[in-house]
Amino acid sequence: MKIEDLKKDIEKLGFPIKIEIKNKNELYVDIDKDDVKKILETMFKKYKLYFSGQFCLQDKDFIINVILTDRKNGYLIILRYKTENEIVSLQGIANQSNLFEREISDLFGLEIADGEDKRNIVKHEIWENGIHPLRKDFLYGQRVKDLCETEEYKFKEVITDGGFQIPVGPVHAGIIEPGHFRFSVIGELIENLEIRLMYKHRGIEKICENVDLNKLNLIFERVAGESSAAYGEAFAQLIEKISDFKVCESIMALRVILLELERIYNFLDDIAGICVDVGFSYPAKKFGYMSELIHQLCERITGSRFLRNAIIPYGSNIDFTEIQREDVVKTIDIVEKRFNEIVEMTLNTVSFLDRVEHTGIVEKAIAKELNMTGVVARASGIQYDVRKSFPYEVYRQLKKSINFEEIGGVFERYNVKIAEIRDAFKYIKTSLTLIKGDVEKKKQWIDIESGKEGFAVVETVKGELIVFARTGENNKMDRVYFKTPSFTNWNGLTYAVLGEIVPDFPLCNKSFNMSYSENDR
Amino acid sequence: MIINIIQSMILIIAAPLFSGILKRIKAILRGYEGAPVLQPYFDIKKLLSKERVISKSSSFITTVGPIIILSAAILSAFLTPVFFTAGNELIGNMFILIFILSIIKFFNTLIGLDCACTFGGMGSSREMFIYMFAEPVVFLILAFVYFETKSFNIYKIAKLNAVRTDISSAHIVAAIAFLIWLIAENARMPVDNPETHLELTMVHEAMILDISGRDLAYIELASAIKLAIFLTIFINIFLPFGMAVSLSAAALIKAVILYLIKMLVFLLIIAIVEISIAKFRLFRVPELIAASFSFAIAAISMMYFS
Amino acid sequence: MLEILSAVILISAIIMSSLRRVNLLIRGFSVQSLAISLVCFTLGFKTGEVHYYIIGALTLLVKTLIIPIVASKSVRELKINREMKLIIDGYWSSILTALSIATTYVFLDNFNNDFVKAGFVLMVLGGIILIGRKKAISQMIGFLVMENGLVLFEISMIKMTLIIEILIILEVLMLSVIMGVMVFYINKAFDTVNTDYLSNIKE
Repeated sequence: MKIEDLKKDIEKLGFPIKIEIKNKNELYVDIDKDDVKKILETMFKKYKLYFSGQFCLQDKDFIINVILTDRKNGYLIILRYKTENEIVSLQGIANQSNLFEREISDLFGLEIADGEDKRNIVKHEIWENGIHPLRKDFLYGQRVKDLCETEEYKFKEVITDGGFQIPVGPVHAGIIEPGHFRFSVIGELIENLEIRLMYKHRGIEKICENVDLNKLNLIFERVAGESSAAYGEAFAQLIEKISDFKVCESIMALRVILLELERIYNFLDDIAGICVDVGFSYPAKKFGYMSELIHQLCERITGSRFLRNAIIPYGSNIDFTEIQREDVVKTIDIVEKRFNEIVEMTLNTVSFLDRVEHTGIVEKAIAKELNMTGVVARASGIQYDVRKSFPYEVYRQLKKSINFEEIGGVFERYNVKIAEIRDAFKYIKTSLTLIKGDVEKKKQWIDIESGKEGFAVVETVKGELIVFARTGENNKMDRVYFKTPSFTNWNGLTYAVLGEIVPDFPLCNKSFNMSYSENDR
Repeated sequence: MIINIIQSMILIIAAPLFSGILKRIKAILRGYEGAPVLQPYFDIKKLLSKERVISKSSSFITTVGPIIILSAAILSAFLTPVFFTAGNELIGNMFILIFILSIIKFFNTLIGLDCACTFGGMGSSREMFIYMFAEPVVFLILAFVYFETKSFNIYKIAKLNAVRTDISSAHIVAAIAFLIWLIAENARMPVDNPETHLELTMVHEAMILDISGRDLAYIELASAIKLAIFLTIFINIFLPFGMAVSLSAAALIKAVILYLIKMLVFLLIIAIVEISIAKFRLFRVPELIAASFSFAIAAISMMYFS
Repeated sequence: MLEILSAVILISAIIMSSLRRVNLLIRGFSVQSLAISLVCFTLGFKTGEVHYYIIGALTLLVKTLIIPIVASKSVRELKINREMKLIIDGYWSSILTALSIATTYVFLDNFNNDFVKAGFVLMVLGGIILIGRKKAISQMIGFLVMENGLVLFEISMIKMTLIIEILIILEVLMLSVIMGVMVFYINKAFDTVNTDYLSNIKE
């Protein structure tokens, strides 16, 4: 179905709406506040759309945007309605919408009209009252004072004989980011797990509104350190989409190489982590070693171990010549060979398989209900990959099939991650053939008029990242919104550990390996 | 008499060295250099000079526990032959040795419960869960040893087995049973991962999570001594060939060298086992210990009915 | 030497009785058969009788090499490596093993030969493996362990003629091949090798 046809089709539904197509695949539907639920239900039923997120814009009124994705054709449908002080709760219609609504409610101070779950999500007990950091009247640079004025958060409690709660975090024994896990256990069995995050709200979206577009890619990359390249790519894609610019194929292929390198080292770390958590130290060290090799390769070709400041709009911020090309080929070959040996070894070790098989299962139905995306969703049997549904750069030529598994346990996530690494090796090799000649470092001044808006969709190592941006005055953004993959995927973990024993939690957690920082933003 | 004291002193002093060697072997097998073998000594020295922080909610157990643990470990070292045995010592009853070593476990568990931290309690409950299954096995092995040598005295057992030339299949089966019990008792892989510090999976480390400074040094030293003692007991019961039974210099030197070689071989075996398998799921540990039980029963039947 | 080998045989049998993984069972069986063939060679070397060598060579060839290779191949093709549900779980089959070993030794107190006892133990443990599992292929391994017991039995006391012995080994080889083929076809036809499903057919 072409997007024009879709537009006509939606117009025929008979609601008082106004539709606009922007940037080729984005459909902006302005609707009335009272019709939201009805329209959404019809849309779900009729077009098989997926709910992907919800965010708020501030003009004179607040504008609530509901992002819907058409995974088959690669369209984004945005339902917009104006409101003064309340959000129409979609809880019960759109899955996980409570997360987005609670976030908007905390950051913009809007009321959730009729939702069941109205607890704070960003605000913690330590925050001062009546503060809404993303509103325009909250000044940039202003700090949230530690006044302990916010009401207490209510955890779900499991009350039975012999049941008790284990609170873990937000400060952990290992060096990891803050997150609070509240286990309700009976003996060693986990009856319920509630995760509380957002301990480090950095206000990235506010910062993005106050930084010049030419430096903004640096802020984007800091949303999540481990997916720097993917966030840089999201920024480049966004700017190029808004200003209708297309870079040449060599640069596109170079970007794919960087993105896939990032995927390799992240997934290598992930599977190393899975091995560490079952105490299987030999392969863990070897995977760690390979990941280090890739990191060093990244440093040699971009000057940053985390591929920072390499992908920029309109061009490339690095030189890519014959020397780098040979370096990539050589390192990839070494790593690939060793990688296959060690993977074979782990798959033949019975004690390892005993731990990972049938552990931490997220069923397909639950994964669907939680709107999970990325590797963890594909391990549960959801066949969705942004690289296939919304092909960017040269992925249209590369990505032919989707790696997925059926059961959705730790072992399946392990397998999908391995398949993704193998694919990444393949894509890097193909992309190298697509680079014609040398790529030279070329930076072009970004200057965009105000009032333009657009979306970028990127597959990061964690899943589907959707970024919305609207340009404002003075070559700055007026609003940037990140729908990060971890935001929805974190809740999958609470289902994965149900019925498992407490010592298996770190294993399940590692197989998910969701990001705290991109969730907290 | 004096030689017994000397050999036990050597065992105590060398105990951290053995755990240092174990760590080093593991590091080398995994392909990196690792910390120097003397690192445990440096760690203990560092911890001894540190301030002692005690949780507010803890009682006198946490205050006296670590020192009791260390003294129990040192005491049991003096009840163990290392490379010399005359066979007529008055000390060395195996039951006393096993019970003194249980004191270490008992106080570790109490310390875990005492500091009122969730992880300590979890660690203690898991430790007791494993201990409950492992304890009967050691008595079966003792019964086997009694059938074999008609003695419960470890010095006598060591002497009798040191001069024995033939080796029965029951002996080997019992040795395997003892090895599994040793691994379970010392919180090694695949029962517990001594390297991890993930709050939720730890067993032994979880109990001592709230211990710091000097107390931690005592406990670390005690667990190093405990591992060395267990390995020494294993060597002296099941592989005591070459042990010095008379006080001649040549026999002593030979015994020391053989002891070191045997120790290194077992450290190597433990290291290889630890890096090449994954940790068991907690509720599968009883299966491992049941196998050990089965070995012990088989050994006894083979010994008694042959 | 013989003591160490009989210890290896017993240890492998005890471990196998509580294993869940098919390919570990196969590996254990292979180690056990290797030990048995070494026992045969040692006895042959001691007594100088040719027939020990022949049994040893046949055991080495058939049970240490051919059967494990065939079995692991069918395991790999059928992808039945996964953990199976045991009728008697690992913990209880270890306890059962311990009790049955003790009983065996009590009953065989009069026999003064280690291999008779070991052979009997293998037969009992093979029985435990046979009744404790659901997968056809691990039941086959249980049967083969029993057969190993028979070999030990035979080399120690009953002087079977060589021809009968060879026939037994050939029969076992045939059995494993037939099992392999049959298991493969059961799998093709019913998508499972779980013998539970056989009882569904008559309903």
